[in-house]
Amino acid sequence: MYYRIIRNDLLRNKLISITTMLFITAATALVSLVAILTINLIGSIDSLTKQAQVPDFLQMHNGDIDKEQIQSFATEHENVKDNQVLDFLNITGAKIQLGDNSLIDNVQDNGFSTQSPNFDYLLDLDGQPIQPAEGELYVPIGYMKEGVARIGDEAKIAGKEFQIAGFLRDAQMNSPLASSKRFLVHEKDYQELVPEGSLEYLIEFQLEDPSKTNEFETSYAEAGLESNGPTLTSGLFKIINGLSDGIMIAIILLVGFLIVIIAFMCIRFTLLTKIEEDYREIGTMKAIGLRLSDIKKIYLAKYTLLALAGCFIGLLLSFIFSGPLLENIRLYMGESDYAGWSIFLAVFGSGLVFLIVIAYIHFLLRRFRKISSASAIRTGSPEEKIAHKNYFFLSNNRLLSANVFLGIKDVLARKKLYVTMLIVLLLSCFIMIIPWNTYQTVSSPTFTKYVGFGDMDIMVSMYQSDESVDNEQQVINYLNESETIEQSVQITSKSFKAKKEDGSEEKIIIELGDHSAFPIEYTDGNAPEQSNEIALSSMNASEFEKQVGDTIEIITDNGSENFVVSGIYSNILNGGKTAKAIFSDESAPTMWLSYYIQLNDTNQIAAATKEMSEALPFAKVTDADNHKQQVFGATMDSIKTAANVALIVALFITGLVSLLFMKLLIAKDRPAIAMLKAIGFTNQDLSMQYATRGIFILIIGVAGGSILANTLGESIAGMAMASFGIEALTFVSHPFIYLGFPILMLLVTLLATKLGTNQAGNIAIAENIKE
Amino acid sequence: MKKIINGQHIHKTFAAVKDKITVLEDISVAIYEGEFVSVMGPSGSGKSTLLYTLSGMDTIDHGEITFNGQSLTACGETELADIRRQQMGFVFQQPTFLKNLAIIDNIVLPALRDNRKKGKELANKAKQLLEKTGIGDLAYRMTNQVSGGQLQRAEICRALINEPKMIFADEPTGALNSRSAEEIMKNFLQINQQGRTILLVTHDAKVAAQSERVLFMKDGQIVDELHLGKLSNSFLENRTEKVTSKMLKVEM
Repeated sequence: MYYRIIRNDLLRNKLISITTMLFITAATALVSLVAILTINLIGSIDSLTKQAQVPDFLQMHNGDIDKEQIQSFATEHENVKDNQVLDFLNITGAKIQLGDNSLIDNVQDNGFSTQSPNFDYLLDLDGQPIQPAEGELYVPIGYMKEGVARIGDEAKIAGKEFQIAGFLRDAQMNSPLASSKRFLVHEKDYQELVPEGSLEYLIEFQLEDPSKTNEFETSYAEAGLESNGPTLTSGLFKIINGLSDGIMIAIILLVGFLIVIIAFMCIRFTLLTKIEEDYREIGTMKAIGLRLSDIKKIYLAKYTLLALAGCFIGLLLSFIFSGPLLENIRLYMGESDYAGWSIFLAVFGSGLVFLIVIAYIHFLLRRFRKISSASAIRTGSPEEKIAHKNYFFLSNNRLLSANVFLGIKDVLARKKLYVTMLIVLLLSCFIMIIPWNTYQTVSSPTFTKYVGFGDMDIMVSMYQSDESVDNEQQVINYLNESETIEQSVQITSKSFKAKKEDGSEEKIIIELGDHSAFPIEYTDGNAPEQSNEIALSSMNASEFEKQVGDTIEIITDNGSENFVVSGIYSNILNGGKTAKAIFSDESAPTMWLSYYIQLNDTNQIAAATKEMSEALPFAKVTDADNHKQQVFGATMDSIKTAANVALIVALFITGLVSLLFMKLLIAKDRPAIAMLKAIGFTNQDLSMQYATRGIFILIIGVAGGSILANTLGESIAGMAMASFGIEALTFVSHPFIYLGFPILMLLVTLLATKLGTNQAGNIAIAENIKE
Repeated sequence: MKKIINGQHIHKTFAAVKDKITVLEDISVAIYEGEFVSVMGPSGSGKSTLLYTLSGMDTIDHGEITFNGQSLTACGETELADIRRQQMGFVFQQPTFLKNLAIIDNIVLPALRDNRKKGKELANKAKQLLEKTGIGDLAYRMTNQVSGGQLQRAEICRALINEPKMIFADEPTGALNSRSAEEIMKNFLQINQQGRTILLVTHDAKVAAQSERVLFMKDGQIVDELHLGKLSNSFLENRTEKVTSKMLKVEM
């Protein structure tokens, strides 16, 4: 009998049943997707790090090196498991030709190396260390993704010919966010290339106890070993590898969470409407002595069926969709070790959604207890609470037409009823705005301010070398003579020692110069203005345990000096450990020199970059926008994909829920509609009244959603970004987000209202008014 | 006298599981301006359906209905709505109001649809109507704060707000106690004395006895008719007896 009751009920309420199932499907699919993606991302990063045997500590160094001293430090240090010094041969992009593509505009530091002897292997796409033959070139996987290189292509490096034999995964430098890329060649080819590039060293250590990396870093600095370059640790490699996909997962998680809430709202609304519709029948069943549990069973069985189908389809969909979404992770990092776990967690997550849905329905069905059979049979519907006070009188209203007034009045009078639609619209608006605002923020020119760079057009940088003084003069002369330059500023990065709380000394790279010309965003405090002030990157601030207003002791040419921390900023590039100050110093070793340049005409950036790199061949000239595009391009693409999906999902939800809601509302309002028609209201009048309700709720929902997105949403996005080292994020928006999205929602709502209220015209007065 | 309603060969069926059920079978009926006509008949005889079809609220299968010279059967939904709003008034057995509007707002509702700026004027008019029906002090109450009889009178006020030519009433006293019913009938008689045509469906012989003419229905047809003439109070009992005996005959 149950089967027949449920079948008939599902057939009679197709739209409601399908929608409910759809939301459960979507909720399950997203929950399960998040589980699959997260576990696979972590798993892939882990297995890549394991296969490649990533160093726990890496010091990049430019200049002379004393390998013996490093070896003896390593031997003496108890925490060192293994160590090596790798060569990294920097060759400018102009000398690298891959097939038909030149890397001349590429902002990465492209370097060549041979396979490591002990650890930090460069892997093939099966996760095995590559041993290239002579004449073979292995290209970083990123260039495959960008379509710059293909297997079998001819490559020309500084005039020497190679054949691209394959692509490599580099656990350190895979991500576009890592500023260097390693190409792999045979030892013999490498030796031939050496005269064509500038040599850098990767001083690498594997530790017995990686949790003591910080202590090791300190002792390395104290030993006064080579340190002319950024210092990186395995934790940072993991963050950089996971960033782009991590942001995508975070957005899916957020959307998934909201969809779960929407699914619950829908279930609540449809179930309560159904109970109301069946009120008299429930009363009758109670009256003839059926137990509450028996009556509940009918409803529970129906929703169990829907939830079961929804969860199952959702789980299947998540498996289908996880393929393309895992593509990037698989490409860059290979298969995950935890694939089995991810399936288990996906199934577990779907099961959990199912159980929560059932528990929630149990909870909702508690109200059966309150139904009195006598009153249910007599009245046929639960008593509606009607306000006893009336503040807005139709007869006093001059502003609105009767239809608009009735629409708004109804929403205000039956708030509890409309709150479902309101919340759904509000969340839809939220889902739309957050990812798009995040995308706009990341892609806006000002975003670099959050990663420690001002809003500049071009950056010229050069490492310290024997010709530094001459080169520096050449750059200054060039900048002074050029007429296309609006302003420029010289920033010198120098290496100092700073004292930690425990008295130990640690290396700190301080950027000296005028930081007011290209201001950055400070998480806390301001740029250094006095010569005794210093601003720290957030990683350094936590490393040295300093806050704004604290003092930090730094050894300069005047001996040990105390600096007041004026501000803290985010920086995820160059290892994330930097500082900014304005004092002048002559004694500390200069690591590199940078010139931040703003042009008169931003359209000339490309031309000026080209001209500068030709005029200053010893320096690295970077087009800031291009740089950002190459560094953050993949991240921005991830966010944009997520934002587009979120937009479509939100519009779909808006339409579907509005349609469902209007249909249910019409069914509920039958007697009132019949009465209005009887006293002479036309179908157009009724459409207008229902459209007013929809639009009124939409306006509140969009306003609420926008406010929520800009407050709570900004904090959530900020928190997600903060976990990747970007702090104090303020949304940069686009007018289309606040104008266009509501208009899109309005169109969808109007269309849904039109479709949903079409049947109002068919309501027969005679049948419905007699009741 | 001029016919305000003229129905010719009205035929109406309802769809049932297998066949169609005939509710109105070839009915021809005329109501004259200023008349007070009652329709009586046993349950299922089609009297309410006749009222709904004659007022254009329900469609018919065949036949022709004109209201005030205009064919209702040729009108579209919107035109019918306009006619109902501007020229007809309705009173139902269960007073149907918008629950979230005050009584006065429910009364002015059909008039405000066309006269958006005249809210105050209409409110005054509604108050006068409420005074006349004896519930002047309830204007700003909500519909759940008054009794069934009071609500029924409010419904009469709503029916009158657009000064319609004709009032249709479907069992207006059916859900009321005898005292309330008597008061409602007084209201109807007053309205009729002012020259408005009334078509009223009822079960109650005493109610029907107060109208000028009673139509008796059975199985979808008008089977008899009783001309009582204008009511004078002293003869009410006599008239009720006449109606009752006719009704008994019809039911036999």
